[in-house]
Parts: sequence; C-alpha cells; structure tokens
Amino acid sequence: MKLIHAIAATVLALGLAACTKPTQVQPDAGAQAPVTTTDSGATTSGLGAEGGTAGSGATAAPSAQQQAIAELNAKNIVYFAYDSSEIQSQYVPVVAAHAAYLTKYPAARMRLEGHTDERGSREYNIGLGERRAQTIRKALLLQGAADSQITTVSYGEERPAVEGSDEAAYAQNRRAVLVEIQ
Amino acid sequence: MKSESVRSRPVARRVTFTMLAALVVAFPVQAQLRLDITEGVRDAVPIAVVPFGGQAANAATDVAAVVANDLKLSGRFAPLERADMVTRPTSGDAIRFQDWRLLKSDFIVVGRVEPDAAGSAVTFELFNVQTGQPLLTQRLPTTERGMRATAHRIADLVFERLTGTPGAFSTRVAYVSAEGKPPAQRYKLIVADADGFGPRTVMDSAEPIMSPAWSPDGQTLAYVSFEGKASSIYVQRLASGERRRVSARSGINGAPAWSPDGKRLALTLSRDGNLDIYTLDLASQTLSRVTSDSAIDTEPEWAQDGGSLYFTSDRAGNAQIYQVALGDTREAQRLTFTNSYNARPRLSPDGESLAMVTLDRGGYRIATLDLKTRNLRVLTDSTQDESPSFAPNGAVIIYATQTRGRGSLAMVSADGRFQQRLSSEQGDVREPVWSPFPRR
Amino acid sequence: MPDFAREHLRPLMGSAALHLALLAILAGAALNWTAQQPPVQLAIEGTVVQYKDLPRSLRSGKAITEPAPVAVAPAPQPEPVKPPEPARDLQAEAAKAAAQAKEAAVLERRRLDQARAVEVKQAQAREAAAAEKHKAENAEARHKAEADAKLEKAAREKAAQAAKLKAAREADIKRALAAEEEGAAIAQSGVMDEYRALLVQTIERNWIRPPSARAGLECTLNVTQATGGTVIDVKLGACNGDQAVRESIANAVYRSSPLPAPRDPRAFERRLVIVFKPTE
Repeated sequence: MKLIHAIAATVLALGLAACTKPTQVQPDAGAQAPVTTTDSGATTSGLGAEGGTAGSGATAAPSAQQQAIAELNAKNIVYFAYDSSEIQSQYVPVVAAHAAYLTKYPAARMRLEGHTDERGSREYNIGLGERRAQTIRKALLLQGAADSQITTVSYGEERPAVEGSDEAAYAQNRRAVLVEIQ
Repeated sequence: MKSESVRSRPVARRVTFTMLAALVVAFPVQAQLRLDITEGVRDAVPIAVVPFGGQAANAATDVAAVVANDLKLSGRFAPLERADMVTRPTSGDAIRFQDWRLLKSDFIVVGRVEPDAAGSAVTFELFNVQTGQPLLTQRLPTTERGMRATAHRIADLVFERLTGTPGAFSTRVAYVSAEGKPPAQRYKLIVADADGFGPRTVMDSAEPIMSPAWSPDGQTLAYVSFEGKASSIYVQRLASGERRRVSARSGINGAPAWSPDGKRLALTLSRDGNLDIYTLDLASQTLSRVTSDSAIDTEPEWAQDGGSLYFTSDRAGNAQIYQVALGDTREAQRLTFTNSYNARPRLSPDGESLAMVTLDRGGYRIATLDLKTRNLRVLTDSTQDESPSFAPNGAVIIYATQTRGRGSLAMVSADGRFQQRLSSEQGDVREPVWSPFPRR
Repeated sequence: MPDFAREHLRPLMGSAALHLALLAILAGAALNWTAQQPPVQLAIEGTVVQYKDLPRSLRSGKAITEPAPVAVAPAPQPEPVKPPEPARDLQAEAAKAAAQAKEAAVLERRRLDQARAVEVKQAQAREAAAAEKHKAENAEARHKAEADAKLEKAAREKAAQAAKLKAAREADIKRALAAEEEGAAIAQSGVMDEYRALLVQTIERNWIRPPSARAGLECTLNVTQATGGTVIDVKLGACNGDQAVRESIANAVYRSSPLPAPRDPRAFERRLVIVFKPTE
C-alpha cells in the first residue's frame, strides 16, 4: 500500500466525517453470559464475556476519539469475492482509515471478524474467515497499527449478515468486519 | 466335438455312444427353463407391523408405531398403513398369511403387552409372509417408562434379523439449532433420540455453537462455543450437565475430535496465524502439533487404531482430504482427487470408507470415499448438504441440508439408495452427529 | 480158459505169431507214416504242435480251442493170405496132401479167420475203444465247442441286446433331439424367448434387492410351477449371498406367483432354474 494513498484516504475520511449518515449499530449482539441448562434442570451460567462490549452509546458530548470510532464503525465492512481473501481496491480506503486511527491512538483496540458465505463445510469456513481477517490484519500492521491492538476472530458461516441462499446473500456474507472497540 | 482317430470300429462305436450319451445328459429329455435375473427394484421391503395387543388407546408409547417408524427411518422398510390392515392379529397362530400376501407384505410383526411381575412384558413375533415361516420371537420385560426404549429394541432386533446389520434405533443424535433472524440469533445444543423424539437442550447461548462430538462412551459431548466472542472448546457430561473448558488458546480453537480410546482430542488451533491440527491429552493437557504448513488444516478425524488422522487441507490450492500418521507427521497423503472441493471427513464404523462434503456438479453434496479403491460415490442430489455423520451400524448417514431456505436434517443410506428428510421443528438445525451404540 | 488154450495150442500159437507179424507191420507203417507226414498247409501261420508233444504242463486240457488232433491211425487192412497151391504128382498123395493141405488150409483158414475174427474183434474193440476215446474226445471237444459256442452265442446275444439297447437309446436320443429341434424350432420362432422375457420381467419387478446383493452375487433357485403358473415349490441351489439375499430372492418368486402364461402353450415349462446374478 503506498503511503500517498493512505494519506489521501485519511484526508478523505476526515473530510467525509462531516457528512456521515446517522450511526449504524453494527451487527454485534451484546455479549451476554451464556446460560447452560442441564438434564437435572439446574442452570449454570458460563464464563463472563472477555473484551468489553461495543460502546456506542455515549451520554455526554462525544469526544473526538469516540466520534472517530463511531464513524469508523459505520464503514467497517470489507467484502470479498468468492473463495478469496484478497482486499479489493474499493476497500483499500476502509482499511486505511482504520489503520490511521490505530496509528493515531496507540491505546486503541479493535476486533477483526472474518466471515464467509454458507457454502461448504463449517470448520473449513472458519479457516477461510480467519484468512480474510488475517489479510486485513496484515494490511493494518503494514500501515502502522500495532500487533497488540488487534484481536482477530473467525465466525466462518456462523454469523451471516443476511439470510438467503442466493448469490446476493452470499456476497453480503463474505466479509471482514473491523470493529473499533476503544 | 473332439476329433479322435478311429482306431477300430468297436472303439469308434464306443466313442460315438459316449458322446451321444453326453448329449443326452446335457439335454435331458425332461426340459428345464433357465431364467437369468440381473436386476431388481431398489424399493423398501414391505412389512406389516400390526398394533400390539394389550395397549390402551391412550398409552404413552404405541409400541407398534415406534417400531414401524424406526423401520421406515432406516430407509430399508415400507411399513403398511394401519388403515389397510383388515385384521389385527396379536399372535402368530392368529395370522392368516393369505390375507397379508394379498396386501403385498413380505414380513409381519405381531405382538402384545402383558402385565408382568416387575411391570410389563412385551412379546413380539416376526414371520415371513410368503412362506409363513416364523423368523424371530422374544419376550422383553419392561416398565411403563421403559416402553419406548423396548420398542426401539424390538425394531433393532427385527432390523438385524432381516438385514443382517444391527439396528441403530436405540441411539441418540446431537445437533445445533439457531433461532431468530440473523444477526440476532440464539443457539442451542440439543440431544434427541435417533428418531427425533424427546429433544433436550443441553446448552443455550447467544453466541454460535459448533462441531458437537460424542465421546466413544456416549456420555460426553465436546463442542466449540463462541461465548466471550472467541471460540473455545468445551467438554460437557450429559448426565450432570457439568462442563470443562479444555482449550481457549488465543486465536481459533475448533473442530474437536475424540480419539478412539477417549483420552485425547484432536483439534484445530491458529496459534501461528493459520489453522493447524494438534492433539491434546485431556488428562495432562499436553499439546502435540500434527500439521505445520501455511495452508488451512482442519476437521481432524481419527483412524480406528488411533494412529493417524484424516483431515481437510487446502495445501494443494483447494480443499481436499488428507491422511497423516501421528508417529511421523512430516508427510500427509492426499486421498481425494475427484472434484475441486472435498472436506469434513468422517470415518464409517467399519473403517472402510469416509463420508465427506464434495462439490459435485455445482452443488455441495454428501459423498463416500472407499478407502481401498479410492472411489468417490456421491450419495445426495441436493446442493447445500454438509456435516455427514454415520450411524453406529454404518447403514445410514445423517446430514444437514436446506429445506425451503431453512436448515434441516436428512438421512441417506450408506449406499445412497434411500433418502429422507427429517422434520425440523426447532428453527434452523445443523451439524447432526450420531451417538455411538449405548454401552450395555 | 486154460483148457481152451491147451486144446487149441497150435492155432493160438499161429494166431499169436500172426498178431505179432501184423503188429510189426502196423508199427512199421505207423512209424513210417509219421516220418513221412507231408507238411500241412494251414490257413493261418503257426506252428502245428502235436498234443502228445506238448509238455505235461500244457496238457491240462484247458483252453485248447482247437479240437485235439486225432492221432489214431486207422488199422491198415491186413492183406489176404493166399493158401499155398498143392503139387500134381503123387496125385493121391498130392490129393491127400492136397486134401490135407486143403483141410489144413481150411483149418488154417478157419483158424486165420478165427484169428482174424479175434483180431478183427480186438481191432474192432480197440477201434471201438479208440473210437470211443475218440468219441469221448470228440464229445469233449464237442462239449467244449458247444460250450464255447454257447458262450459265443451268449456273448452274441448280449452284444445283440446291447446293440438293441443302444439302438433304443439312440432312438431315444433321436427322439429327444427331434423334440429338442422342435423345441429349438419353437425357441427360434421367438415364443420361448418371449416366455422367458415375460417371466424374467415379472420376477425382476418383484425382487427387492437388498444392499448386500452386489455384483458378484450368484444364487440359483429351482422352482416348480403348476400349469396355471402357481408356484408350487422353491428350492435354493448354490448361493453365495447372505440371509437377506436368500430371503429376498425366494420372496421375489413367491410374490410373482401365479407366474404369467406363455403366449404359445407349447412353451410352458414346469421346472424353472432361476439364476440371480446382478450386474452391478
């Protein structure tokens, strides 16, 4: 990735910040503690969730960082072609924006999620989703992010964005999601 | 005719006579007509399971109905509709075989439930309708609560007598269900009887659950849970519900598979940034690495002797099935060369074939690979099939498919002849896995 | 007897002398005869062996097919002895001598005759004995020949019978072949093929193949049907299939009962040999 592109993308992103749409809540269900029901009827609660929830609701006037987070999380999906983990050119700016943020705020943390469409074997799709997440991660690292700032997880086909078994639905589900946490 | 030199007239006469005599033997004066049958029909065998005597109309378990349904699920039998049964004998001496021949049944099961010292006893009799020959009869003591299990046992016995294969009707299946529309889905891990009866939720989560796997003793399920927004592997005892987290290493923890002795798990980790296979000793928590290349290596499955693993790898550019020896993990042998995608190997109980998902003519279907001939045979003709799992008698494979856009379960006989969908009441169901035979 | 000998001493002596002389002649003749036997021209090449020349071991009398050669030479006819002519001088003496001689001659002749008669009788007796022996031998030979002839006859009869049987069997074969030809004619005319196809179709439609009935399976059923097609009997022949297969093929036949009838009733066959041999 050329540095000039990254700078241009950052400038563009900041410029666009003024006219973004209302915040979209990312498809990320709250991390409630799972409940284990057993044969004997007892309910055991599982372990607490690690890594805090996405903090999208702010009471006071959002700080610049928080605003940046909100804006980034509004544009954080990179879609992929079938059976591919290559970042297509139209998503380069997206990655660059997140990279810039991470570079700017060393304490920032993000989670990278890899997803696939529903076709094929589930565990193998975990691998494909992981491959996509890793590609984004490498791109971020190349653009200045630190290793410790990024956590990757692959959901394979388990968390589709949309239901459906047609090509349109598949295209929507083949994605990586860059979630800025803090 | 052999040419023989005529030595002298008497010899010649003798030879001619012998040859003529041979002709007489070959074409006896009494004729026979020979027929060559080279094919038949691949239907289910018609069988009549007559309602058992001694059962109240509102009995909790209709034994004959359970038996008939089990036989039907196996795909090998077509039970006669009750409405077609003109008579309902409950013992062998009351059967008029002529009636049942007219109804085109090949076999008939009759029986009765009677009070017994400890509760009840169920007696059944199996006959060949065409010959009237009794084939099997047994008396099974039981209780009201155990009636359903007894019915499954009867189905097992009838199935084994008629097919030579043990029945798998007293076993269970585990599967995952997802309810709600994405992205807000709720996930459950469910265990039910092999015929789908009595589903019980054993784990419930807001995060995905994947890859349930039965321990060899049928008492424990291993599975992957995304609780905490990362995948970890848990092992849960079914009777008590207690569970242990056995692997939560950074990155991916997936695809748990029990070794045949139940002491180790093969699993997939992404410690080095890409998926590789490891084995984990459950007692000592010792981890051993099996694969170490930059490709995706996952979905391990143990060989019967516990000495090697089958797995999915895309080291050749696309997903194929490989085998690697645990004693020497340097080289893995590729097993599949047909089609551009083969994944998720599962070994048959007799160790002779692997079930898998294959990309065949544009659709993801269930196929079996014969390990001796390396011949791949596609069993299903739908396009979204995955997660095949053998019944412990090797006769049937349960798998996940799509019905009207929703995940559902289906069964196919191991030779691909019989298929049937199972009704899915609980949302979107996937990843069925068949329990081993219950330990007696 | 001693009185007779004393009374007729002279004739007896003369007779004895005559006998001796005759015997001597006979012996000489016989001996000569033997030595001068001309070579016998035989139809088959072989060495002619006199029975009496055979070693004792071969004289047992068995397995001699040819009748023993008659080695008894007929007694040669004795030459008539001419009485001596009496002299003319001494007519009276001569006459007396002649008369005496005549008397003597007559006596002599009578004696000779007697002797000859005795001799002849003896010869006859001897001849008779010889003849009897000969007859016996002949009879033996004849018996043997008869027995042989009987054996031969029996053998001939047996052969004849065998030949008759063979002829009968050949006739049967001929008939069977003819029937076969007729059957073949029927077969060739397509009626048999049609019938066979009809039966095969019916049974295939009713055979529910278990999964274990794979290529390599070969099982034979021997089925008997009644005229109407009802299956009367099903017997399992050689079969390399498991129990499920065996039951399935038997049921296939039972379920097909009554079997369809052929278009041409001549094609009907009571006994069917049904071979189950799936191709894949």
